[in-house]
Amino acid sequence: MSLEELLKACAENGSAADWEEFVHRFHTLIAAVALRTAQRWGNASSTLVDDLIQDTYLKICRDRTRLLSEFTPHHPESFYGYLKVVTANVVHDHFRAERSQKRGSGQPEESVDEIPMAASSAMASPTEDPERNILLKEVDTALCSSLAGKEQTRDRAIFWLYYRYGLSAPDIARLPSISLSVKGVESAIHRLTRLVREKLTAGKSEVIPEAEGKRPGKTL
Amino acid sequence: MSRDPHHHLSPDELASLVEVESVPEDDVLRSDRTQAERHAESCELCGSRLRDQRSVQSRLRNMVASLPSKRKPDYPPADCPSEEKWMRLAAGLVSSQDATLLLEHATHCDHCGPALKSAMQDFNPELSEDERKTIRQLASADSNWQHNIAQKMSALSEGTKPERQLFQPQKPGVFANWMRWAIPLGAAAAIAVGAGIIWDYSSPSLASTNKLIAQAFTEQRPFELRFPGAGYGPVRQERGVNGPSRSRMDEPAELLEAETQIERALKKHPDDPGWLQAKARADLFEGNPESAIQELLQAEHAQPEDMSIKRDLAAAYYERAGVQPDAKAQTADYQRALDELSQVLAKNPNDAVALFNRAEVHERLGQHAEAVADWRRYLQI
Repeated sequence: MSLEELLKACAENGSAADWEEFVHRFHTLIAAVALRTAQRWGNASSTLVDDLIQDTYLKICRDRTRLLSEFTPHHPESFYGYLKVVTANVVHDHFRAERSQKRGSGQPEESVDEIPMAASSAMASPTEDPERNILLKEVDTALCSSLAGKEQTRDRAIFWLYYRYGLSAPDIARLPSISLSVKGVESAIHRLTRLVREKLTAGKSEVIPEAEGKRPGKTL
Repeated sequence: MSRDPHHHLSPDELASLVEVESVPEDDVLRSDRTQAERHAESCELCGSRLRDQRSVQSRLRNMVASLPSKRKPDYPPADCPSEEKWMRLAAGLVSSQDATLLLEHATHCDHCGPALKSAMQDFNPELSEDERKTIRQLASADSNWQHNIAQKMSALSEGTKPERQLFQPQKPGVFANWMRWAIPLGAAAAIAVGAGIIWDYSSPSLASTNKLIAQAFTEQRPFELRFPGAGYGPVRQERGVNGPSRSRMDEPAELLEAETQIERALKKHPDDPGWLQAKARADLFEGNPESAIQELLQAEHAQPEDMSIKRDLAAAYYERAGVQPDAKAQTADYQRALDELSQVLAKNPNDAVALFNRAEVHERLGQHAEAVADWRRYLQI
């Protein structure tokens, strides 16, 4: 049965056999996202992950009329994207609800090392870290002055995602609008890094007289 | 081939010495590097250039280290796109145009950059061996568990057959079944027409559609502003960017129903300001402020004195402000929202929704005294 046929069967009839096939096909994907997202919240016990997986299936079933509308024959991977987002939302909703219950019940909320990102990022904000702020500005100026045209936005994004946030080249290549292979991203990072290095060090050392750097006389 | 020791290091040679870890090495390259390294050790100029470049490289590498290595999902700061946006981007569910806008924001935001990274990691199609092992050991990996959940899903499907099934093909027999009812129904319809009391099923009242939208807002409040007729609910999603921002999977059933009604009504009356306003509200809910603004402007043109349109227009500007790429455009949209709400309040000073919303807008514009004044007034109503 093709993916489209399966989704149609689940959306319209929803027999146990159809859903079993659905679960069989997508279990690894749903389980992986549930596991990773729960790990991010700091509790990925197998019992909880199983519960979250079950909640995800039930949510998909309740919203089954959307199965087909999320499926595009020419872009079937979008359906996998849809399942990932549904799963992650189920997990996030669970933990957020749990957290708000804790708040409401007067229980101790979180330990110090669990400071939410919104707060911790504020602490690490560039405005409060002048050295980092200066570097970011210098680098961005170097990038902007050396890149032009359509690619400038894309190349800057590649550079910053890689260096500032530590995304890997394969992750960057998977982003829509980047439109480059992993090799292409790696090559862009290499090229941009060299460009930034050269820009930021230009003028620091004595200028070499000739392009290929013929050494001045007997200085060895 | 050995390099001329009297030549300074070329840019390529310098790069090869700086990028020792990132460039794969073979014997020839290793030998070239050794010679270049020797030159740099003995040449003051090249040594200095190499140190400078290595220092820059090291500062670049340390940039990422200055952020927390593990982030925990949370609601984003007010001016940032929602967490869901980053998930949708990571899942490949946004258009290339939206992706460009989002990436531009992410590359300069220490909240959203890590949020995107987390989503990319969580959605990575490659599984580590540990992850495979953990997943295999889950109870849900067992075929009995899967059989049971499939039974539950089937029962759920039986119990709640969708009201409108998408892409439903015409099945044999359906026409025959329909015909069995068509004659008596036709007769009843004829009687109804005769009595002048026919109920047009495809055109439910605008009020009932707006009620459905208000219910959807109560169930999944998409932004901080109040919405007429909607009860209080926690903000589910704070911001959207232009284009569809919510996944259809998370839309409440009420909204889907409302959208169907709006679509039908607008087919019949494309310029009806009431239905245009309803469409705009649905668009607002879905995170499409741009479309909402266009529809509301059209509705406002037809009914310039309708304050509810201005109030919705303010909400649409407010929503769009949240996704503007630069501060200037953002402030301009907040200002537009403020102007619209001030017009509403000039006419109806006790409009609680408009007061609440204007206080929010003042907050966004950093006009805290004005916000406090509106809050106080709001509490008095």
